[in-house]
Amino acid sequence: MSETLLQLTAIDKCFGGVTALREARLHVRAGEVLGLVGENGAGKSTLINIATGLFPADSGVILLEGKTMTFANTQQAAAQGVMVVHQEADLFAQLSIAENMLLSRGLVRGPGGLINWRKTNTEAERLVADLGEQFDVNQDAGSLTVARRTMAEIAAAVSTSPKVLFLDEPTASLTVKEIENLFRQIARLKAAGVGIVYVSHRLEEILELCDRVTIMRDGATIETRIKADLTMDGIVSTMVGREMTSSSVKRDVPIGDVRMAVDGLTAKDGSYTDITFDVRAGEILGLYGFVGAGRSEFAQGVFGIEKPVAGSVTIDGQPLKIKTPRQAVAQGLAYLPEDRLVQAVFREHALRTNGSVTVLPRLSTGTVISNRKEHVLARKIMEEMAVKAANMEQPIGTLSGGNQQKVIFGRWAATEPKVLILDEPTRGVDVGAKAEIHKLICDLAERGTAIILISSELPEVMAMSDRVVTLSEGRVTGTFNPREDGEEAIAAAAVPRSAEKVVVALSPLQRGLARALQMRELGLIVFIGLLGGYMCLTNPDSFANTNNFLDILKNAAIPAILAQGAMLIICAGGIDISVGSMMGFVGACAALAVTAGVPAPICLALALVLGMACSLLNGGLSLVARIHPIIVTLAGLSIYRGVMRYAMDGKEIRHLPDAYRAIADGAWLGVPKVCYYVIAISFAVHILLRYTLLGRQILALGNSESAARLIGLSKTKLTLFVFACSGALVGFCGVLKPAYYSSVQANLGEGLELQAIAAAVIGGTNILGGRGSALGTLLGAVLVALLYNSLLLLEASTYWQNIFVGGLILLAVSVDAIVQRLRGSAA
Amino acid sequence: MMKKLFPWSIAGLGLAMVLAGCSGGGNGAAPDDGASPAGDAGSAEGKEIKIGVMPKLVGIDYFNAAEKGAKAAGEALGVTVDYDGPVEADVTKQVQLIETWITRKYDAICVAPNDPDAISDVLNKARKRGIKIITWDTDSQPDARDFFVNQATSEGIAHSMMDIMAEGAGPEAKFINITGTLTAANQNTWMDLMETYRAETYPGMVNLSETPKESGEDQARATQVAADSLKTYPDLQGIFALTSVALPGAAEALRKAGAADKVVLTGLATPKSMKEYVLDGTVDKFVLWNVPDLGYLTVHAAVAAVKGELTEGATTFNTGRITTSRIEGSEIILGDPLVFTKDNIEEFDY
Amino acid sequence: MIKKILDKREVVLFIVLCILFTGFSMNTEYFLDLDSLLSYSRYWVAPGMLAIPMTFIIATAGIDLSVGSIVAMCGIILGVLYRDYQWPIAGACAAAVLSGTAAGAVNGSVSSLLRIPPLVVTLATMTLFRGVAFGISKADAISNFPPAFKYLGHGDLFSFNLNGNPVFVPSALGALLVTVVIGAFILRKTWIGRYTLALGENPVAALYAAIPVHWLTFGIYTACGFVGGVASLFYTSVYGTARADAAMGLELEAIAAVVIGGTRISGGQASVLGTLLGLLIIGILKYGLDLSGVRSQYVVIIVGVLLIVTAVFNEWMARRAGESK
Repeated sequence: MSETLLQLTAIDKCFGGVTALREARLHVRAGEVLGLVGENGAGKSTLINIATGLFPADSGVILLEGKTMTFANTQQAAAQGVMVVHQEADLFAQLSIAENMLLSRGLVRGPGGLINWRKTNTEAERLVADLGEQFDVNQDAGSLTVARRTMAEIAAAVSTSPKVLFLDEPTASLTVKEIENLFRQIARLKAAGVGIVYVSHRLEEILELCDRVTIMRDGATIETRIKADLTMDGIVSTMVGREMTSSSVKRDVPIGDVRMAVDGLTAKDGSYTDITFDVRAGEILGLYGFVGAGRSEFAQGVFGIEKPVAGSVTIDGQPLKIKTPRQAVAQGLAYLPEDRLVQAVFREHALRTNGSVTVLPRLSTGTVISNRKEHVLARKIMEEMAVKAANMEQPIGTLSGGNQQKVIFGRWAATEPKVLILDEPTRGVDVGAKAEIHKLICDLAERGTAIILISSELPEVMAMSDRVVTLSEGRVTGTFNPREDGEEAIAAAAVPRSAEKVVVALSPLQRGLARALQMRELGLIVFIGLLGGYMCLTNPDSFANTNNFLDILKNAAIPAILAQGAMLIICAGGIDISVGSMMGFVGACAALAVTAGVPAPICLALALVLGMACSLLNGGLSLVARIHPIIVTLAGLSIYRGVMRYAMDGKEIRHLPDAYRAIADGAWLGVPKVCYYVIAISFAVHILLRYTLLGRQILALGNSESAARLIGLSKTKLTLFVFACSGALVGFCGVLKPAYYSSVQANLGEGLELQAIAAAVIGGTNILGGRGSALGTLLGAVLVALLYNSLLLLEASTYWQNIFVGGLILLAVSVDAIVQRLRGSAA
Repeated sequence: MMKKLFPWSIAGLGLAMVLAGCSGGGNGAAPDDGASPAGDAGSAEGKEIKIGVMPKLVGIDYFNAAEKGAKAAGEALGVTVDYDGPVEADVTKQVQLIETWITRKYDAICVAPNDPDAISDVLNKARKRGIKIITWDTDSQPDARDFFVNQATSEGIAHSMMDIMAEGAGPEAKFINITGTLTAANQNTWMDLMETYRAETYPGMVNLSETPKESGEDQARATQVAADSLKTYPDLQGIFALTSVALPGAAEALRKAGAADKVVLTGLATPKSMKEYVLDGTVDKFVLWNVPDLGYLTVHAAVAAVKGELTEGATTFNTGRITTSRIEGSEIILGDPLVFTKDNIEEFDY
Repeated sequence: MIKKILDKREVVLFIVLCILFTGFSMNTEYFLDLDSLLSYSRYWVAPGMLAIPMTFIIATAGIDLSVGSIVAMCGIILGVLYRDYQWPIAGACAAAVLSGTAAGAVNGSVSSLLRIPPLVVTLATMTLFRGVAFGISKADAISNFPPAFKYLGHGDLFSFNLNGNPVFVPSALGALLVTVVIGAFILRKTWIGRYTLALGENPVAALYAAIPVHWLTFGIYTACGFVGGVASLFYTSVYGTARADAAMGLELEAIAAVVIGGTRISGGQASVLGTLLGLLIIGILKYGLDLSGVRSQYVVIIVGVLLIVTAVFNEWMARRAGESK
């Protein structure tokens, strides 16, 4: 038909002894859509990840346009035109959607290689518009719906004119209209000669869209067929490796009274609205809908994770008070969550403790857990659920997905719930375990539990349910009897209908206000203005003069410079609490050198290099040995101080040469030199963080390490870079302070690490990484200096100063947390 | 169940081993455990005398100078002098270190305590074991030590600083105090005595800030505090900087601000740290004592006490090179404070 | 079998302790003077007590930097109430413990309700509580506590004769051991401990497993404040003085003991016994080095290196254990 674009042959891959791929093949031609199907765990994702350079194959050959390729990372693959849009893409939540789209594919850069944000945003808007979408690309990615994120990702991938484009479950969360837009775009790409690999569980889409279909099973490529040879049943039977028995595994259980009644339940964020239904003892109620229909959100609402705003739930006629999951469980509700790894398992803990966690108080006398009762329970779970494990002390993370799920199931069965909500209980579970879990569900129903089964697998819902309620866009769209109504009718009811979700449009004023609230710098300026204004009014003589203002800036200088380095490290997801000691050590070495007659500029260079070396040692050690940087630098805190004392041999260093002192002491145009330094450094860090690719990558790493890996960012490189930056700044401060004050004592720099971190935090840096601003950090340091200055001028007692400073940090972070929360609920 | 017991049984076994080890060691240690309160003087006679000298902290010029004197005395008298102290002016570290010095059976321990009360318990314990205790630089509670080697009476220091101020800035000077840490006992005593003396002799002088400014043993911070104070109190005429760190720090601030002719600065510091400021006229006079002599006298007193030559009620003892010292009760006073000026500052190298 | 035993972190720590002990006893005169060692141990009591709730906090992937300041603040409250307001000493002690609990509750409620990382919260309160201590004491040291109070730090539980030399066991050491046993019991035997580990291992799953996450966080920090208050009594009694600048850096000592003891900084795994061994290792090391006459400035380097070495070793062991499965 046409030329071969990408060919993968005999690909093998093992993960820690588990074979993921065995001699897998994939063959993509130009100008075609190749469907890739298989059950969960068949190896599709692994194959895609190998093809797009996320990790290497153990063996096998990748040919791109006839040439052998080895991709070291995803960026190399992307450079060769092999791109992927991942399912529910892992995003950098604190970066704008425009940046998420273009970070790995080219932010628009202007003169000097600096990022032009206006053009970047325009570009992103254009790409989104090309796909027939329209939304504000400047908002944080974290506040966007999954569908829009997916569309933005696709738009961005398309923009780089790839040769081969992998789309992994792109439609899972899309509305009908969005799917139409997507398909139109795919057709356009196909016409342009792009090879598209389309992965989906929705076989209807596969049949509609694809020219050929490759079917995988158990890590191997089973066969590739052209569309004409395909039927839905054929695909399914090849996928599962046997003829599908459509016979229901559901046993008939006498259905009793209403156990749970839901009336008009509505979510705060509108993810579900006016949900009304009931479920009876012994009944299995299928809750069917696509991802994004509000199924999980509804379940979480009932369970007390996110409180609903309206409506009521009763269990056995008693109104359910929903505030926390604990209350829900106490009233007879149980919920097996959808995402097992994130929401259910305690990976490194034993099977026993994973199983007993929901019923511990019941197994205890007072607060003391009865060993015997717990062992009985664990053994019961292992036997009844047929868990395959060596013993009950085996960490649950080492079990297979199906066995993990059985333990989690056992955890909830042990609570003897009146109502059990199962959210995708068989996702990522092999066929055998699936049947066993179905059997367990029936067992539970037989004992009179009312069961709500949430699933996006229609066959499962059809086979297991007594009744099916369909959800679409957060509303109940129908109730069906699976024995009488056909699959088509149920599926049709679940398909999202409305073309457009109702989006509350914000007025420009509201949007402006929302953005202003986000800007910590503005808040700080207001705060500084208020305090400054008050001081101007009360102490006009001593406060309101240029000299005093310069003094404040001067006093803020050294903490501010250190804080810029600390901020960079925190942005990248690390921390360094040894900078004060490090500064002392470097400062002592430089001062010793200069008193020994080494020229001042060389001493300065020495300090910078030494600072970088120490800091790189911190960063490198935490990377290589994989210890948390807080531990490494906690040790560094005492080690550097000790080494410094050794270097100084118990003496103070005084009378530094004038050439050295001139580095910090003195003024240009009446303004102290250190003021220039702090402004220049803050400005440079601002440019680095805001306008260079490197800076954005640092933030990206701090946002999400896994997403950063997906776009091929090197954690090692970026981490070492920020530590090197911080080290150079530490070295500089190690020269500045002694040069300014003309002496080095053994306590040089003591406590400065906390001042630096405090300035960064007050300046709006997220201590967990991913968000930070150089301007905010500078303002944070200035605010602390201003506070000290004001307290001094107001002749406030020296004794109480610390209270104000501690209170200020607490106030700043609390306001920040509240603002973030308000924003979160407004979105 | 066994599994649970395992780590704990190891801990138990460990404790048993520790005890066993100690009992074995106890046997070996017993023979030289002859020191008892009664026989200390006699037993000390035969073997080499071991003196431990502890400053408030190590690594600053002031105490380095004292170390020199102490070591010199050790050589002169033929006794072992060990000099060590905490890296920060922290009394808890001093207490812990003294505890090990008791175990190491020093014949005398000389300490400059960071807190007179907190140090006293461990000093009492040492005395019970027959160890002579000399405090120097700062006193502990009087009943916790044998002798206190006082560099100069607190009154002497307070009065001469006040006199320098009155001489430089006039009897109606407005002044402030800069101290090290707000909890430092020495400085607080001096400030109290200065206040008493001020009220009696210079009633026209005014302390502008009731609480002293804190500089935290950090010269840079002292500079900052002094500079800020110049702004806070536009009519400021005098500054007392009461530590050897605060005085050069404050001098630096005055020099930077060019305020040396407006504001009189005095206080206590080592001559080396003040040399440049005295020579360039920023500071005219300041006070200290002969620090190496203080260390020297301390060790002398310790040795004399161990040998039994110095007992309660004595009025003199052999003080080697120092001729000015006198004994008042259980206090040995080095002499009057030294006033440093342009003329004599070059004579001292500490 | 040997490999399996070596996989137990506590065993490795214990071996390290034995090596230290043997090394010191062979090279350092007076090291084996048991009475001195026990007498010295009273200085470990305050950091040791703090290390126990700190084990729990680190097990939830949190941290508390404010405990040193809490100890200072409680000591000052105790002293001021006793000296300036003539409270009976028992009442002043109770007030100190209560204030510690309240301070812990501040940490706990801010970090659990506003969901601010505990590192930031306690960084702020570390300064704040220290400020309170300075403010209400006016930086004045308070001493002259009654003899009954002195018993806490200086009393002896009992004494016995070892080869003719009396050996006194300090009551404070007993209090530390009681804290350790209670801590170990709660962590290993009760659902509070189980919930703590679960919260540290996977906070989201803990919420979905109906663990009262907010109450638990609040409770642990409050308990830490409570223990801080109790530790302040011993601290004040041992040194005989309440000072606003007391207990500086005590939080770091406690954290170091916890980390050396093998509790994972990212949460989910903890051992109170390990913490105890960590305390003993640091304590013996400091004692031995002081006794050998090693200058104090080098002791901190050695302890720092020890911290890194054990952290690297722990991580290496954890990874090896992960791979072998």
